[in-house]
Amino acid sequence: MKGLLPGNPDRRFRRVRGLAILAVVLILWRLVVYQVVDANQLKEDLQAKLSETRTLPAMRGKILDSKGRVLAKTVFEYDVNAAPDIVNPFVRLNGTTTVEVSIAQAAAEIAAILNIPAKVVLAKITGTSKYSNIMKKVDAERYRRLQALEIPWLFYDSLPRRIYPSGAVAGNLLGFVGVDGSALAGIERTMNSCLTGVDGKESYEKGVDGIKIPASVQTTQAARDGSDVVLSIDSDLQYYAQQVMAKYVRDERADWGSAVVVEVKTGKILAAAEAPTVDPNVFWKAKAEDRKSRIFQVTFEPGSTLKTVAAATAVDSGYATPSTKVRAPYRLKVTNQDWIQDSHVHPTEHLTLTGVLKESSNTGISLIAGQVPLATRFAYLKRFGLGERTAVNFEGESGGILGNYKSWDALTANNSMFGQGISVTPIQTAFFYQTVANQGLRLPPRLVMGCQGSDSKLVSTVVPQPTRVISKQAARSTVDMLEKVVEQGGIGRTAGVAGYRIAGKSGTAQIKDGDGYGSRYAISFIGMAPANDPEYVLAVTIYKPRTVSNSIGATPPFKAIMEQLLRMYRVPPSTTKSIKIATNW
Amino acid sequence: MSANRAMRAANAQRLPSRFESIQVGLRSVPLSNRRSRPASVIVVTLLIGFIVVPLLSLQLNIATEQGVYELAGLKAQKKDLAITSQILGQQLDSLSSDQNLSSAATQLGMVSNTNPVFLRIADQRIFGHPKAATAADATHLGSNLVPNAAQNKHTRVANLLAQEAAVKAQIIATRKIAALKLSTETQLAQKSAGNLANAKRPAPVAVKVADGIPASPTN
Repeated sequence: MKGLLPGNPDRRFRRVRGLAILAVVLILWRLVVYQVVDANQLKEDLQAKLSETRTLPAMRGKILDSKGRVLAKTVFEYDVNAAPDIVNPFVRLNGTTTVEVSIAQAAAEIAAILNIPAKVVLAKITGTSKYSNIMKKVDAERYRRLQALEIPWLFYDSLPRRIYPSGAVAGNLLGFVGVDGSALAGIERTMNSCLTGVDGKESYEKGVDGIKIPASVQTTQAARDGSDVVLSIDSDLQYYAQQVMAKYVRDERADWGSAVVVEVKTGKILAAAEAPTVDPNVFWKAKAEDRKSRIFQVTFEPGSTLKTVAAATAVDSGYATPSTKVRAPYRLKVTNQDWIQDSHVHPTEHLTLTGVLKESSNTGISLIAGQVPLATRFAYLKRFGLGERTAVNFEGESGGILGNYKSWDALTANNSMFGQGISVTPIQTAFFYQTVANQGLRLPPRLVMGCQGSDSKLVSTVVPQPTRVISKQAARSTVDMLEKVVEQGGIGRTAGVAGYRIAGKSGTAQIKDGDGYGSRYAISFIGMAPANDPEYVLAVTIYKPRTVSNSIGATPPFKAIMEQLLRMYRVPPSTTKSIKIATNW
Repeated sequence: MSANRAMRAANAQRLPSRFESIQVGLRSVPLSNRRSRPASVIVVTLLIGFIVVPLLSLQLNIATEQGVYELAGLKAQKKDLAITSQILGQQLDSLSSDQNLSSAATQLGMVSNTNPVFLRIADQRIFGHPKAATAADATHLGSNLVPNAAQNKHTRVANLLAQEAAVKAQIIATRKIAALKLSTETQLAQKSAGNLANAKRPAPVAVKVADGIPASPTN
């Protein structure tokens, strides 16, 4: 205190100055420590305390039908959670007054919205834990009603969920995604790269109130949503076809059934209906074998529908015409040990090739098409697309079983003309007939039209070139012959649609069972309309029906779907008549 | 040279009288008080600067902060609208699904006609043979066989029928009132027909509606 007394100002000034310098030095030192020595650590601590990083989720693209109708899309659902340790009565503002809401009342309100007993809710919100899930996957409507309750101890986690607004319509084609959003089957899986987006990321600093501090965003990577997949399917027609197939599979107590509608001049698959089917919204409820697409994945011996291919081969290769005559016996010896026979007993018939198709004579087709060398016949089968996967390249698609003719025995070489010893998928059979209907030009089937980004530009899928299989004339002759099947055939007539020229062929194929054939059949009817200038092909197959044993069970669904198809696509009734071709002599 | 001389002469005219004796171009100038004026301007400017700039900065900061809160509010609104859109979208999906439409059509007694008829305008031709759909056609497929677990809304056919009945009743009531009105007017017209010949027909008066377009006098 002495130094501060008046009378010694110099010393006092020096001491004050010394203290001031010391203070400045200390301050400078702390500044250096903060700014240089501990700078990085402090920055990290601050960022950890205030910064927030969140993922900006990318939405998975939609799956659309040919008319832009949504068949699959992603929505948000909510997990409803509570924090039991803070569950308490709370005050709710009711207009201008406040009302205290008890725990029991809040539980009752939650239960009423979630449609579960109040005691279940009460049990879940009681305790000391910090987390308790009350219900998972609550839809947006109920989520909003829960939010309106303003319960302070309820919390929500939003989660993307894939939904299929049309349910089981095209369910076997669409496939489905798992609970984690990963594609598990069908179009969802094969087109996953188109549908999947890229998640974004955002880092920023937030204030104590949780609001982002302006200009604090450190890194931002915008989310890029997935693109949409556009299908060739017409969902209205698809629904109708599925309804029809479900009815007939049920009524005929069959294992399964399928119907494929093809636009002849474009190769577009307008409908690929199956029964039983799968609703992708609840795919786990369907049997494993019903979740796949049998149209692309299951093979069977086609039977008599393949006689059309044999007849077209004979005509195109110059071995026959629609009027070529043949004596068709009931039984025919093929090898020393093997005989083939027709489906019903009959005396030897005098048939033309057209009559052979109309009567679906195994012996008749063997005698006429059998004149074509085996190597040539095999080459035609290959050109018709047997033994190879289609251009759709559907997940798990089968190409059927054709083998090599050189390893065929004499019986297989013969029976291949009426669809035995080789197997095909329903989509392949539909495109045999598309080839005939399209003047001999086989088009690659189109199911996925392309990938459509946010700019609405459709990036088309790569389509292989068409294949010339038979000549125009041979194709026309084959259609003329098939028209007689529907005009005059015992079974074929039941597939006819009043007012329209229809061409088609039935098939009743035995099904392999061990080394031989079982007692059940795969029945089918494949046809086209209008026969004078075919626009559409419809292929119906019913596998192992129990109430019918021949293709008479396949024509009613064929007729029902064909009627609807012609009506929907505004095809006017025919004004011309089929040409005259003798069926017997 | 002549220009310099003219300039000097002009300067000599402008200079005050106490400098008249100076004849040369260079001269000493006293430091006047004018120096203090720019200094004060600078000080004032600086002071204003020190006050205004932080104020402006503060204002900007406040505006930015408000903007952030507004942005947060708008984002919340956007989220809310997205939820509304999702709810309405799902309802629309359900109501427009094939399953719902098919079921509602069946309940309303609609049947699909299996005998389509087409008219070709170009040559006025009719394709097909018209035939009324019958109830038998309605049972073609029966109930819905294609499940849809995503369907959370159904068309209430009973409501539609009730609405239809209400509209029908309203139409009938309106027609009755119109018929009654027509009948009354006819009677009045017949009653006054006898006096009509002698009566002087009043000139139509245009009724103005709030200074707007004159209402029709026939009304």
